[in-house]
Amino acid sequence: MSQRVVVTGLGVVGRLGFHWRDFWKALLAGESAVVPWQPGAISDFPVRYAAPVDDAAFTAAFAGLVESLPPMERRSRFGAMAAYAAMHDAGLIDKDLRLGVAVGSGIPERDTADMLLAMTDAGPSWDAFYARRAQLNPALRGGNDQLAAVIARQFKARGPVQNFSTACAGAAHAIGSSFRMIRNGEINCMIAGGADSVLSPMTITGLHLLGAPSVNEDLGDKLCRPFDEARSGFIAAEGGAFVVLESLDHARTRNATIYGEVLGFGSSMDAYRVTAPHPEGRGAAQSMENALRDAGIAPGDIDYINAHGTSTPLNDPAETMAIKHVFAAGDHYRKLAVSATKSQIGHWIAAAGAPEFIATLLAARDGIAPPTLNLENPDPACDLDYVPLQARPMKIGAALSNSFGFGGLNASLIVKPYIKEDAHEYHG
Amino acid sequence: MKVFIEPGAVVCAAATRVDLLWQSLVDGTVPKEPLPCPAYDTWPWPEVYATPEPGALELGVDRKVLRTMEKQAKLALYGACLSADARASLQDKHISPARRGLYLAIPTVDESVPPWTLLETLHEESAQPAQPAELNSTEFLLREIPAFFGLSTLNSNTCAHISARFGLMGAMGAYSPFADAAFQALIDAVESIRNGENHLALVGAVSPKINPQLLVQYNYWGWDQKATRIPAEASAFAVVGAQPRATSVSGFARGFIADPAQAISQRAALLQQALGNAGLTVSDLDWFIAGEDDLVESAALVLAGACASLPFLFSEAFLGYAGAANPLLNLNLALAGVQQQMLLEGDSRQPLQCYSRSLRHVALSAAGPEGQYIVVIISREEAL
Repeated sequence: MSQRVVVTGLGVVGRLGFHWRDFWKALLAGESAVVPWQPGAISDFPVRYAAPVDDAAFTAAFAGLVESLPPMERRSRFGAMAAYAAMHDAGLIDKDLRLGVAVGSGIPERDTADMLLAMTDAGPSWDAFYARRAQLNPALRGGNDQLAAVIARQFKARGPVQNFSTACAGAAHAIGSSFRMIRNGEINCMIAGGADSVLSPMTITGLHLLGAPSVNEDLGDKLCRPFDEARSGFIAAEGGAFVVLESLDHARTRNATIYGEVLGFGSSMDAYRVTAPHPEGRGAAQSMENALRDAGIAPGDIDYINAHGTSTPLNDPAETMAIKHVFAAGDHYRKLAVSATKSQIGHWIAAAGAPEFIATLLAARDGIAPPTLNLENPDPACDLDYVPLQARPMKIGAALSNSFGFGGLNASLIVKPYIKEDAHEYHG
Repeated sequence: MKVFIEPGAVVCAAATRVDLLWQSLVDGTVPKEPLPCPAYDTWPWPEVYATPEPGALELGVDRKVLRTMEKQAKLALYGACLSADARASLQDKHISPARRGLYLAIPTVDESVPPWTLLETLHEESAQPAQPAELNSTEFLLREIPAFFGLSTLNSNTCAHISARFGLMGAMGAYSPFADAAFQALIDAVESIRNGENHLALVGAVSPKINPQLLVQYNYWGWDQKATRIPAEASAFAVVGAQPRATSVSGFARGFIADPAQAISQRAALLQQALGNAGLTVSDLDWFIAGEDDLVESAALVLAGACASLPFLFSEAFLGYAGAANPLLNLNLALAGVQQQMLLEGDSRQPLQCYSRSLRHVALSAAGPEGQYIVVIISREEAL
């Protein structure tokens, strides 16, 4: 028998705050996490803006906890604290339950210091590298499932522990897979989300060489502008976000606070190019259609979409076309509110789906769509209602969150406000 | 709803077909090559199970595309190409591309980053020894980092290459980095068929490339102290679908074992859970193929009530350890065994034997070093 799945805990660690309430308040207030930035000690790197976590504020916010973490990558420290915050929010710290963990993590952070372990007076040497291997990045020494394992150990997980590598769709896959496992009765409670950072010199250089981050200096800190004519790339960011998912029965039994209900998950592939999304959003549309089918609802039931909305020249029109295709019946796409949270928080890469899922869930709960910042001159090819500049109160019966990964790996999640008396049954 | 499974391709040191792999195992001729990278002074194995890197011709891609791929992506794409040749269902025009899925287990790309050549350049150009500040200069980074570094280092691009090559547009998932990831991929693929999202799904897994950082990982996990864990390079595939075939995936269970002291009891419990999920008991099992630590697995089997004569294979003792690819190599051996009604038996203490036996239900396990543990049961369909 399929179980209804609800969200009972939220945790966010990012530039806009260390508690989901701060994060949500900042989104609704139209705040931006984008600040002047340079990688490491460099001062002339062409990528001049990013949305980094404030280290001092992070350490202060989690004082007493962050010190107890094992040696971890920067991104994993954000993830571990976000997971703790979500479990705390759900009231599940120190509770004995069969918990599972699903994490979307990116490639291990590439720090130049790692390979410089090989450097000697006579040049690079593997002998030197091996002799200093204890100093190597823990995720390179161990594996990139370290965050999932740390969370699993911290909360004594006994259920499935998954680590997704689906690029920018990773966290959405983690949440979707967790939803499925609970719905199918495999487990009652999962913590799912992601953490990532691409702000090291090596990684940001790799992205820059592909032309992915914006280097436009004319727009100052307003250069993250999804769907705008002047958009020129994404803004690299970092952070961690997790949610606690439970079967409704499990949540009710322990009188948990319920933020909303997950209705469906869909995924797909573009089958197009490694370097570009399908220009008509073929895979993106497929992902949304799969999620709708999985949720057992019609396109017309969706009121709000939290778009992938990267602010790149290629993504935004392709996603617009995909939305128009999926929501064509009755011209429903004209009635939809669509906003891009990346305009405020930047691109959390593998983790991106997690804060955006939380924003979608809270939008549905509170009946308010967060805005798309910096959308001043919409691209003619992007002609939906993108909730420009200011949050908008509206009734949201169901909402959809998109995450589209590099190489055309797509995921979509559908949520709705939790209504106690609702007798929704799964028809997928 | 029953989900059926067919073998795909295997790409490993021994062969690119499972029947040839089987024969190599029986003959004891799985080839080893000298370690293809420098090793630390206590590294135990001068020879490993390296697999040749496929080229543009074998992969059917433009040479320019090769610049965006690391060896593991090439091994995976090659395995997918051979699977497509072997399994007509992957080309079945009656199945919409939107219902053809892909589930992959992929390690992180553990090639040295920045590339070794960059370190050499830095050494030549800089005051000695080089300092991080010298490497972290805009001019140096933009000049020396390969243009496609952002692509080749992104492990999930393997999925993009395979989906583009075979027009797979269905539901997907990619998991990393260790052996458990392969069965996460298999189980989620099976569930995608049950949910009706996919009508068929290609399931694959690939090992990491044998390189200096992999050796560091071996040392970190203590694998260089395990006699059987000789590094191997491989990819392996299977196809799952709703169309009736000779074998189905009848059960599974997945969990996390944080405390090694509970490894035996919790593995036994997960085996029983998987059997229960399949409507079976341990006495129904005809073959057990262990993915990890054969001594612990044997003890777990005993605790679960398995009879001492249950045939047991620990292929790592004969094939080496191909990381995420290992469980799918084992799965292909299991499928071949069920088809031929033959099995392989052997582990770190017993030499390999091959003999005929009536095989219906086979259990396979996979484990990650952090504590992930998964059991999958496959069953021969009587009616077919």
